[in-house]
Amino acid sequence: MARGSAKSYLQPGHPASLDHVTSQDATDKRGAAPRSVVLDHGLSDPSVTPGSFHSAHRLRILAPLGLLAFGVAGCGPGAPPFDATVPLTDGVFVGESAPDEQGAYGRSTVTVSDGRISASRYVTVQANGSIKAEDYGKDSSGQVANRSAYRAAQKAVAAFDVYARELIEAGVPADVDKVSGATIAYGQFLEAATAALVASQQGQPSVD
Amino acid sequence: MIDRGPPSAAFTLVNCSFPAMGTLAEVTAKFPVGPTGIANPADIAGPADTANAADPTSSTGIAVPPVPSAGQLGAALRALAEDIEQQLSRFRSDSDAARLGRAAGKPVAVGQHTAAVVARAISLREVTDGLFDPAPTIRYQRVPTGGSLAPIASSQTDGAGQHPAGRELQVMADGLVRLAPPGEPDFGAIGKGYAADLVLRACRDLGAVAALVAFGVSSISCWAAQGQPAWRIGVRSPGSEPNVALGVLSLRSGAVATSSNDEQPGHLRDPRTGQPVDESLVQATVLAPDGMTADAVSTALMVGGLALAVRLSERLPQVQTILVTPGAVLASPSLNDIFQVRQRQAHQPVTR
Repeated sequence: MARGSAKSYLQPGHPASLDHVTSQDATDKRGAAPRSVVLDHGLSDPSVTPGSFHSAHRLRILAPLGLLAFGVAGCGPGAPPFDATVPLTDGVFVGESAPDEQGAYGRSTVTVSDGRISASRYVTVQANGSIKAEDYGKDSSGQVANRSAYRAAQKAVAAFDVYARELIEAGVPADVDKVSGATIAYGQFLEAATAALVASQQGQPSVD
Repeated sequence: MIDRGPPSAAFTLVNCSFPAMGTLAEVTAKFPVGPTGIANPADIAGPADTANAADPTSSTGIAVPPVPSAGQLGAALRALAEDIEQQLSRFRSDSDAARLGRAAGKPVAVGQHTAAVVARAISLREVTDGLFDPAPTIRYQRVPTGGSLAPIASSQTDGAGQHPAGRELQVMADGLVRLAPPGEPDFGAIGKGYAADLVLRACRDLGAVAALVAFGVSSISCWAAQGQPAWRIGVRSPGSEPNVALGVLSLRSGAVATSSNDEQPGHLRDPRTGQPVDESLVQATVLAPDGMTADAVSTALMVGGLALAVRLSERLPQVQTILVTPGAVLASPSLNDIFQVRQRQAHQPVTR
């Protein structure tokens, strides 16, 4: 599990705490300067940058006992509920979400090294097997038939990398308990990432 | 996780989530611990302890330690959600919903959950002028290319091109339920709200002093006992991906549901005509005493827009709304004390 100064963001007065919630500059729809705490998980990837404001849907991995743990259960019928105190095993693990109305589902690939998430990738797979990318939101002939729909679709695709990076960072704080109206895309990410972590706990790597 | 101060020896938060009703259900429950300090869930006897028989006052009927582990809590609540889904899901061939569809108008004996949802759905359909409808006359089929929905042609119109307001759905004197053909009812719009409320009640039965339950991305129910801090629920800013909150609700009890058109433009349809709704509203967030009302009203508002919102403010005074139009955010006046707007420059709150 990730280790580090996770205790710091639980202290009152920390920039991530409730006391420091302020109105955001509305000219930046993604919110003010990102408020996040990167745990000392040994990951030295300078390309990983703190994400923008997020809801409490976010997964977080906490190692030190006594801290509040966000435990999520494994997905799938019959899957046992997930216990956050069970450590992760090393390897590469894949989890998938349930499909949405169009048959698309999320797939999360998580790499665990020394008990910590060291890499994460998230994609949404469409019903025909293709991955949502620059063509997502176009019609069957490859044209942009509905511009607003295409923009919404591409926005979701752009968010996937952010979600994947946040899973690595773990501990990115939220100043709300839940977001009403969170997107289906984010819900699928959560479900897929949960399944991948359950697989890690159960020692069931997808790639040896 | 929201910072509620340093970890307390008097309470512990238990988080769990589990697949339920075609989505992920997430629960956060706060339990008081004994005078000896924070209890170690691993040391507490589990459900297998026969001496700790099921508490008859518990809605789950399952014995759970005073401070359950995430696994124990998840298992108990998942069983309850499974029971609800078994009756309501139209995707299960043995569910009440499926049997109502196959009965083709004949009365059907249903379980307690179905009975409760049907009764509420009938009243919600009426109060929303049919804009929420669990059994619309128009059914939909998936268009082969593109995966979008299209209404199945029907010869039943009222001459003005609109179809009669829904198929007849009634609870009969003997408790049986009858649905006019064709097809099964769709309780998906309010089923999650109903489940969230019951799961919340189960948390309280298990001794929680505060609980927050979310089914998927739309149905949230919460409660906090006297002396406990209110839950903070963000309202997503439409079009934001990754998600950003345009404001935050501080809520001690109630249900919140949000419907929007921005993630899947054109997917919301008027149940009376089968046509995509006009986009007078970008997003509707509803705060109500119960989950079914919040779910149904948020869905109906995206179809009926501001005109429906005004009518509902008189018919359902206990319901409060936050409406996002292309140019403004409109909030019920009674939300002034509990709704903190974040994006002040782009959207000035306007009370009605």
